[in-house]
Amino acid sequence: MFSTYLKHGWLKLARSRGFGREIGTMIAIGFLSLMILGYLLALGFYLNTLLSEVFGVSDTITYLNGLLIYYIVYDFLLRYFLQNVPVMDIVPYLHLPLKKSGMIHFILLKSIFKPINLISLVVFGPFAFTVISESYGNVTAWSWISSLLAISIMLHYLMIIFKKKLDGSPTGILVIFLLSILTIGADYLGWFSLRPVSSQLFNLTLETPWLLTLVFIAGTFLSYTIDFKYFKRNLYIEELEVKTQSEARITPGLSYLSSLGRVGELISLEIRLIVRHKKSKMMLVLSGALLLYGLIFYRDPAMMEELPGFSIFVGVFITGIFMLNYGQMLFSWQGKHFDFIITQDITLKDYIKSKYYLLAGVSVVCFILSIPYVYFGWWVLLCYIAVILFNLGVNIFVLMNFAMWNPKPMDLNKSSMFNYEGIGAAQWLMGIPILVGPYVIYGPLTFTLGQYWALAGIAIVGLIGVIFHQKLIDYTAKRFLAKKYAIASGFRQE
Amino acid sequence: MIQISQLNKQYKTEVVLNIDQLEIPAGESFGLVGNNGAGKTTLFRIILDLIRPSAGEVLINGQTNVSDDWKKFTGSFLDERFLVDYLTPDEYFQFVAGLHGYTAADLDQYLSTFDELFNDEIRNKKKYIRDLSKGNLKKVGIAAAMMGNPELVLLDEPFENLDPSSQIRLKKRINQERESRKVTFLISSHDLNHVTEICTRFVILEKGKIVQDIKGQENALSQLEAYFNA
Repeated sequence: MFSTYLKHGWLKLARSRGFGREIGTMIAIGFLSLMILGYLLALGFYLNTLLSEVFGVSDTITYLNGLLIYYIVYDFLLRYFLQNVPVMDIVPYLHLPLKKSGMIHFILLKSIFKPINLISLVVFGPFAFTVISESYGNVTAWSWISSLLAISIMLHYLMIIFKKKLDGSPTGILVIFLLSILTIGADYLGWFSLRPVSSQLFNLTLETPWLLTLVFIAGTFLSYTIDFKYFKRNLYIEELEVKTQSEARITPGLSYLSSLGRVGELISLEIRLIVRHKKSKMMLVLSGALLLYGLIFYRDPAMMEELPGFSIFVGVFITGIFMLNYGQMLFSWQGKHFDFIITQDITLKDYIKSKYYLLAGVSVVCFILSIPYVYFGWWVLLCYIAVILFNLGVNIFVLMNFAMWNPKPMDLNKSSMFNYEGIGAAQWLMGIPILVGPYVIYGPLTFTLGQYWALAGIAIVGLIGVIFHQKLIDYTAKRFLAKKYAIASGFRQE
Repeated sequence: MIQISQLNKQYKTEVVLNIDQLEIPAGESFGLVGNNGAGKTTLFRIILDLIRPSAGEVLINGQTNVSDDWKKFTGSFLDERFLVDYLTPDEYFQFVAGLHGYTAADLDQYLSTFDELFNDEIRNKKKYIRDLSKGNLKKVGIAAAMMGNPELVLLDEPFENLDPSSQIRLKKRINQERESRKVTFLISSHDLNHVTEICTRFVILEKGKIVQDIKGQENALSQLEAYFNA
């Protein structure tokens, strides 16, 4: 049966409308993953030298074992942001004489074939088979690396259940928040140290090989079983498709927006969309949380002096994260009622305009909230001003025009189970031109005219865009008009 | 009202619609009948500029439909994509009413003409459109399509999924509209009984071609039945 599921999965991909785009994205992600794994492998080979020579550690094994606890916590956090809940359209199979447990095993087993699960092997493998096997022998090296791999897989399955049960809930956010505090707080700020615990624990895997490893492997099976049981209990069409009917919250129309005419009505329609769907709401929460992102970077004053341009990057993130996240699927959000939009008495120009003002509005709100960063110096604020102008004048238009590229239908009403469409590494690809754009201007200018002129360059380009935004909206609407039929027919196929 | 000439739609080599000439005068109630795959929905979508025809064109009130002009006086409901499913019916009506420049009182007055059809299941309910039954979805879409005194109304299978009482009430409501003012209805249906009660002209589509054009309500049902029996 597994082979049939695999075949159907492949056919779904191969016969999908956006096949070219999906393959392109997959190749790009695959390449990126390989590159990152390559770097990590290099780090793995260099690890011992790094510890002994750069950090001056004599007992590198104990030292590394002490750090492993942090590695594990970071692994968990990284998975929180990168890992998806495995997806498979099982609804068509549910009524057939097939075993439910088989479907679940398939979903769960298939999900481990991810680059992220190779990280521990790549980083610690070389260390295991050089340093550890030298001191403790090959068998112990195998036991040590197996422990780490088992922990990785265990975290993988734990993250699935974590995302299913707690994602987006206050408890879930609290757990992630506490874990972050824990890792930053512990050794770094010198509150308490987890290192001795960690080094004792992992030294044990070296002294009595396989004993602890077996415990970790058992843990892996346990977490798999937890996932399995959860899926088995929740594998019903009702829970897969229709969320238990939620009572409608009646929100009065935003009267200020309505006074803006059609464009305002459209924006108010879209704001309701955002606040009534979990997927878009999460993006709002995320952009709220990322407002604090700068704090991580500005803590170190030396970094500010060495790399003043980095503040631009931080600024793009802080003011533009919602724009990036939401805008990547800009037209898909309304895909389900796209036919409605284009048969009503609404011009496409008004439609595009409403999108522009929505994205610009959120960006400006984020900018206003980020003004307190001026505490870290005027330079930071200047960077943010330049960036917000660049966002309003250039980036939003780049985004809108990119988003027209074969947008895919997206079912916002599927319960969050099996519905992480579009969220993951892929959407960051679209962010590349947006993140790189300001540096294309900044880079050359900072070396010739100095950093302030370089910043002014970004601001001026942005300002030109802002001044001519009506023209750019016209242009975007014209392109959109040409693609209207293709986009509409894409949304009609599900 | 609508003039169609040399209209052709094909996907690769398969021709799904091929209409030489079709004219629908203003005020006519036009029934489109045909078996599955005959091209009814495709024709409606082309009229509404949702699909680009491979050849030919559609004129609405003498103007090409590749513009926004017709949208001001045209109401339509083809399928659920014409609804904004995360709104409540009331919010959805308000949105559409806003596009027609209705005041709250106008809207209330308008919707009260649907009270019988709605049967107290649509308005003032704390329910999103996505949680409505298929029949109620249809009612919401039809009520929104007829808003703003449109001169042209397109409805695709309006009786499908409605319970018997609602079917009768809907026919009544549509006939009310036809009698009170000059309005062109384009209605597609599989149900010959219903369509012959509200339309005055019938076009049978088969494999994308017009095979019969029956004018007048009298004997229409027997002629249609004779065609589909054959």
